[in-house]
Amino acid sequence: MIGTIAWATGREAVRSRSFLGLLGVYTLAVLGSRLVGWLAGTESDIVTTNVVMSLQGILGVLVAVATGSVLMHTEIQQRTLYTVLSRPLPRSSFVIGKFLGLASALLIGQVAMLVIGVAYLAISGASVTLHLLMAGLMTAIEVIVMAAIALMWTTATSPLLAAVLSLITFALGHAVHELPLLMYHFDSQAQVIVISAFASLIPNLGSLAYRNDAVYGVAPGADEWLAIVNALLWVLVLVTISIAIFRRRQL
Amino acid sequence: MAAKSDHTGMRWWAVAGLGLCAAVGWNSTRFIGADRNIYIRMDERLDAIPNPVVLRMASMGHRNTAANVRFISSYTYLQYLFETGEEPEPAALYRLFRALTGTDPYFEPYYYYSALIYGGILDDQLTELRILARGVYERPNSPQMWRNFVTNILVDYDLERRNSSQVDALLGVWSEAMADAGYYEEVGLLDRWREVMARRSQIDMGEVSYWTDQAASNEQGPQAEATLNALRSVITDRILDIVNGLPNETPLLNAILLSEAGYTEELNPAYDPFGYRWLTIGGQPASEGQRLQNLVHRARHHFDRGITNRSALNTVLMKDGFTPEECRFVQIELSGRRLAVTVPDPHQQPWTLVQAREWSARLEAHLLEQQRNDPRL
Repeated sequence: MIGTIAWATGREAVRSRSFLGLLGVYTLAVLGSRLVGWLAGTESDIVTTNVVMSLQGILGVLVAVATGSVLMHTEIQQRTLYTVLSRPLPRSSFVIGKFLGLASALLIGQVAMLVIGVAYLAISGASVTLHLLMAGLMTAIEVIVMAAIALMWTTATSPLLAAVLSLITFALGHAVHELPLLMYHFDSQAQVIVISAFASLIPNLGSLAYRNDAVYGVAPGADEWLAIVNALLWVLVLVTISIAIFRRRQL
Repeated sequence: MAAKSDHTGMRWWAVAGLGLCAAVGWNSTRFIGADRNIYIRMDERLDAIPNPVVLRMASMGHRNTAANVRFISSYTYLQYLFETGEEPEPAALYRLFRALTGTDPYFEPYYYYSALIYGGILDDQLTELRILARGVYERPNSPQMWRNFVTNILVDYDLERRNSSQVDALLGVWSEAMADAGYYEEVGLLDRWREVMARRSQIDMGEVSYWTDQAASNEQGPQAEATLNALRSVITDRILDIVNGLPNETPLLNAILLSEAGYTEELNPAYDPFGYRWLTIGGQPASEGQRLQNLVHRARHHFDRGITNRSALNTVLMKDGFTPEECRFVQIELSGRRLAVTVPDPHQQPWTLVQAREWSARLEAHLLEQQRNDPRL
């Protein structure tokens, strides 16, 4: 049953006009990225590659938040949720199925973006390495973590608030990555403990930003693999929290 | 009714199309016929640049792109500085450099631009070198970064003349970095460079030439003898350097032979440029004349700093490396109020400027000839 819900959700997302429209917007933005390289006046290929890799992440996260934050609300509004839940189906299976469907659709979108971006870079003469593919896949994982975050917030609040909270979580997720560099600002050990405890509650999205190093051909190390494992753990935790909230929700 | 509706819809599309054409035409007038001049921005709010860590946080995982955009924003201002030579505020410029390299440390143009501005416009070679050293630290496998760094050291600091062994060590590190990165052609060039430098250092007479010029310009002045002594000391150092670099031969004999290489009828090669004997101290060749010169300077130095007791002065002089026999030349008179250093007379006349110049030219020719015949080189 989980597979059926996931398949239906994923198929609906991929077939939607907005999905194809998004790929169209991404393609246009990638074509325009060379302009930024020219503006830099030096190392045009590196600047263009940076922009292309960033576009994949930025658009991917925006789509994950936009679709993830209305995932449950749409089902409630269209009353399809009641039809599904009237069957002998636990709510947990419904949440897992919806998330897997969304995640697979986002993954397809990310892979399509990566292929378009890398192909453009190769055609326009920039250096393309396997590291860029790895960086693209890590960006896709970051997008899936954002989908899980959006799902968690949408099970607890309204779609608009869920979108806002998801974007705040995204910003904090990158900020906590750099936080150790600012620890020297804190005067007391108590402050360090409090801020560390708070920061540890937020997924470290910055560790998935391998794209910044991949552009310069820096090979992935143990840190990158650990970041992937950590991200997948966070996805599991966030989906579990979403199930726990959704189970108690009055529909 | 449907036909009328279609007709009305078409009219809306037509009006929208016309409006769009007008708007696009209006906008395009700004670009058509515009000169392709370089846009010069004459100021830049460099004081508004945040700490690099804050910039990294604000970039939300896209730090390279954020730094690139900041660089593009500053580019025209930096270009303006190059073209006019106008000096920016160094502290603010350094903040920009720190923000860019702290956010995206691998982007090499940041280092090149900053180094150019500091070295070329602000005339601050130390910061220029510091920036390039940071670039090499961040990009150790970049041939371009190494070339900039080493060129800066060799040109601005003249390090090869001052300390060629340090340059050799630096080239060694560069060569290893290039080998790690697979730039084998670069490794070959560097090995060749080191080989040529080794030859050049063997015949380098740069310091001798400098002091020869100094002695010539002071020939009639009150510093004539002091400058000439400095020249003699530099020549002695040069001989001892070369002798210490030669393997498997008697060092003292080498020193004498090197003196003989520039032999003229007036000079006896058994004596150093001060007219004293060549010595062997601790198995190493030494110049008696140079040691006595140094003894006078060191004794004066310690005496002026309050060591007026005979035995205390002997102790510090022996710590400086002088022998008890040499210390006997130092006397303290008038109950500690006057220092007298009475050294023995030289065995022959010290070299004159003409002799030193002639000897230097002969030695250089001798070393060149020796290199040509040396199968190891």
